[in-house]
Amino acid sequence: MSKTSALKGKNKWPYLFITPYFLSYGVLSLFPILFTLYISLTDWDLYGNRHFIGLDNFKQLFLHDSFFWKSMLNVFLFLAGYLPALVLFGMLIASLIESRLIRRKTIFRLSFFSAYMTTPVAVGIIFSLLFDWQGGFINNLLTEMGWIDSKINWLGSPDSARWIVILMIFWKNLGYFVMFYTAGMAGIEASIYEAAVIDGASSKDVFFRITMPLLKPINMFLIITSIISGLQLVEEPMLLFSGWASGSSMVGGPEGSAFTPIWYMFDASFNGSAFKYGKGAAIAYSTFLFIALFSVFGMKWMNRRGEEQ
Amino acid sequence: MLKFWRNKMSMALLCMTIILVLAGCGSNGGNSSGDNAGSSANASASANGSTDPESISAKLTVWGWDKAWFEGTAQKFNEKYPNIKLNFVEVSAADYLKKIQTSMASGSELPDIVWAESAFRGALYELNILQSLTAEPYNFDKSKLLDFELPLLSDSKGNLVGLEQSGSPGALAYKRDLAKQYFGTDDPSQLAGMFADWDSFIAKGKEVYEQSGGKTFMFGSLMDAYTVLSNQGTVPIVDGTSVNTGEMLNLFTKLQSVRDNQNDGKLWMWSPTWNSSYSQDNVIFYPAANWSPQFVIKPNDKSSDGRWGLMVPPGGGYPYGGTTIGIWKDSKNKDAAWIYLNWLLGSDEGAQANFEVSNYILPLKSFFSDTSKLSSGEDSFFGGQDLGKFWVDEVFPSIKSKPVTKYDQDIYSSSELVLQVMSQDQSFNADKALAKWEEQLKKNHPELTFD
Amino acid sequence: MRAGKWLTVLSLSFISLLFLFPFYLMIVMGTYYSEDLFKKLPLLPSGYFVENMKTILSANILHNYWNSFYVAVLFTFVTVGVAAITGFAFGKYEFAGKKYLYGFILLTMMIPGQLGLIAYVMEMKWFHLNNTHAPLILAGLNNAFGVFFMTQFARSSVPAEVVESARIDGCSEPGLFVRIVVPFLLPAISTLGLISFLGSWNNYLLPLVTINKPDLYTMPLGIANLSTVFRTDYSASILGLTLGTLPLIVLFLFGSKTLVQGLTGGAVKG
Repeated sequence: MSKTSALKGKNKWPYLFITPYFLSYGVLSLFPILFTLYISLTDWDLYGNRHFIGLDNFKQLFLHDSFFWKSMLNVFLFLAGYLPALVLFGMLIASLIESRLIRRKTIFRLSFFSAYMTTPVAVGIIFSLLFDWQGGFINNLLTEMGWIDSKINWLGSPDSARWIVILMIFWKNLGYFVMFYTAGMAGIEASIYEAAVIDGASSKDVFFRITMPLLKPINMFLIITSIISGLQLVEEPMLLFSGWASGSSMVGGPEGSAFTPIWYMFDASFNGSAFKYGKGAAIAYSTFLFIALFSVFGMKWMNRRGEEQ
Repeated sequence: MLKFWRNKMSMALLCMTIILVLAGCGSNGGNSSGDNAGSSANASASANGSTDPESISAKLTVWGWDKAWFEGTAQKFNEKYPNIKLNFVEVSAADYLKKIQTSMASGSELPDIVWAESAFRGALYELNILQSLTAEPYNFDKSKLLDFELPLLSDSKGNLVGLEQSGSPGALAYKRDLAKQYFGTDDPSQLAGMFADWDSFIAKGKEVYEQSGGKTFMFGSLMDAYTVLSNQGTVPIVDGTSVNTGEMLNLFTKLQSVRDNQNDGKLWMWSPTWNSSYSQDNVIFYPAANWSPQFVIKPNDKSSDGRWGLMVPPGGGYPYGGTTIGIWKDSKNKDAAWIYLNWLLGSDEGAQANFEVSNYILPLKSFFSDTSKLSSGEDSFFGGQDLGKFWVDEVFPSIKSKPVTKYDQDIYSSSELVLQVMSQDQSFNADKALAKWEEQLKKNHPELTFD
Repeated sequence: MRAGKWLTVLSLSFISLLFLFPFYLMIVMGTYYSEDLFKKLPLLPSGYFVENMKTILSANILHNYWNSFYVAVLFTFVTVGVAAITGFAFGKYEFAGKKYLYGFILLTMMIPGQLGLIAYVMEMKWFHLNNTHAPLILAGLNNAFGVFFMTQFARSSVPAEVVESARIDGCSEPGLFVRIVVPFLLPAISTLGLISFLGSWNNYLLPLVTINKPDLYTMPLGIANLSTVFRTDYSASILGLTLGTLPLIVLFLFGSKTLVQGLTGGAVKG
């Protein structure tokens, strides 16, 4: 506070405005993060070990742990599968809903967003009923149609399991994307559109030349946060393979094809019987390293692209 | 909003103070007697009834999930000990261990009474939070329990750390109409005679598969077979940190033969299609414990009547489920906690209360001295079988068990992952299964050695 | 042109139905006997609604519902309030150290949220706040996602001229924020509000590990206890959770309105 009061006039205001955030961060969040950093350098488990072991956890993960690398690979595959589709369809659908074609916009917004509100338990049962190997709806349909001879074990083979995870995330998050784009479009001044229409721009031109560039800040936000939450993915794959949908406790899915770093963290420290908090913390921090690397890369890339345009 | 928040905070502080004061009251009685021979003698004397039960007062916190059972038995307990108040905090079994470990890790209080479900009890024992009940001053006499219970209730050091909430005998449930069709009889003892060992069971399963044109299977999934076979084992899979791979290979070899002989319906255990198979004709046998009729079989096949039967599986009964209840070793109310636990699960009075409240059968030898009272009468859903008599007379005596270990939960999920592959890939044999299983288990337990 | 329009509307309607379908199934599932859910896709309502409702009501779910509701409301206020003012500062001011402070926020956003769970519980224990709802609400104070979003939004959607002219008119900076900036931020506020509310409403892990008093249990914890160790009552759980989405829908409709206002508001000022 003493520092800010030294500043004159309106210059103190931005500091005052950000004070609540940083103050509460210092009081509430700094300790957990530092403490966990320390934990990642120990072999803490609940069976009585708590020794400082330096970077051993990290060395083990990066050099010797194929599960860790596989889980990392998975989240990137997932991200590559759903993120472009979410950005493209999200923008398209949002601009359709907000266009003059649609009267009852709220209903459309709500239908897309409803997927985001559907409770995981129900989602788990629905996906299981759809993709079950012997009695699932999809397999029954395909065999009745005569399109397949033997039933496909959708959730039992690595490739299809990955696609189902991607499908699930796409379906759940499209409404979320649409909503943010809608908010972004609401922030664009209508006069810009009107001017473009008067100038005789086609709706395609308006979308590519006006809507998309003006949505850049929102895109930046959505893409960066998607990279972040994508690398921290855990709920959907767990839903499919550890409980709700299948009734099983298959950690990581078939061949570890749906294993994710944060799932690994839970598996190492909370869910199984290892209680390896040191290892769990190291996994989380390693994930953070990857996230930071790719988010910064993503931001740089998007900023540069913006400047080129 | 700010005012509201401030109210909230002051309420919270007030609550904290009250709790501290209350805890203080409780601890005065409990703490001083913890290491004090005089008052603990007093406590055990009171357990025997020579002290007036009404004079003992304490407040115990219990974390658990089986609320109806808890409340029913607590009411009976309080008839005798009106001043031991029980504060029940409902925590679902699926989250229980998570809650216990975060409390431990953050240095928070644990409940006076701790529950441990079969899936995770091995791990919970090793957290070293439970009081040994055979130690001073509790001196629980182990020989009061049925023999198979001891490995299930003891930690790796051999301490008895809790008592069983209810004996959970496992057997096989079967569909009578299918049994008659394929085996010529639906009588449980004739069937048990026909399937004296697993080889003849599996061989018969192949005939069933062929006769039905590939539509009917002995088991819904390899996991069903695994549930019975692994629980029937008497050799621990992990001893200290060394894994008995021979035992595991035996198990996988048997399961491979289950698959190779088309005994496996390729459903996932507990999946929707597996549940719905109860009311269909594609599966004959399911593993079943004494809780299965009420919670699994009847809900899944509620419109049938007389279609089901229960039989002793090849190799005899096995423990299937169960919950250990123990005392937190740093509890400030250990004496009162012991009075509660010993009354509830260690005494004939408690056994009676358990049976009356939830039909739970305590695995106490004295309770089994007269089994006639445990009859539950003819059950038309099960073709007139007396389920109470079935469990007590036929399954309980044949149950064998092996020590629980902290690895049990991970052993189970590793097996599940492996068996999923086995059931879809014909070239995946027992050796490959073992290798994959080892890899899975080593993931979070690098200390394990495999011989 | 006309045909094209109808085609667009029709295909959009069709796609939106696809997305609505699971939500519909969820509602229908609450009317089934739990084990009947497993038999086939539950397309039409069944007759078990009243029984499921009884299960829910007997478990004191209404109390959990209230707990969740007021926690979510406070959480949303805290999250959105802090994020909006912080985002405004980063989006519309130049000040020394801004780049580093903002970079720091972005960095903290990348730390997996589940990472500090144990330490957070420890910390709450020191503050004597475990077994209250405070840990759940305080968690909203530094929501880096929210700040990031608000900053991005403020940057693009709050016109600098409007801010400047208000300043010339003698508006104080806080007054400027409340009277001039907030209306421009409304679309972002309602969006973030909805997401925050939903996040708090569905939060499971944090209340699970910080609350040991059934009286203080939130909705998801209450639902988890509907099931016994032997049998999971999926229908009753789903019904409970479906009821839980009602305030969300109300909030959504409300939020949607502010979007429209934001649109017209922008148009008037433009």
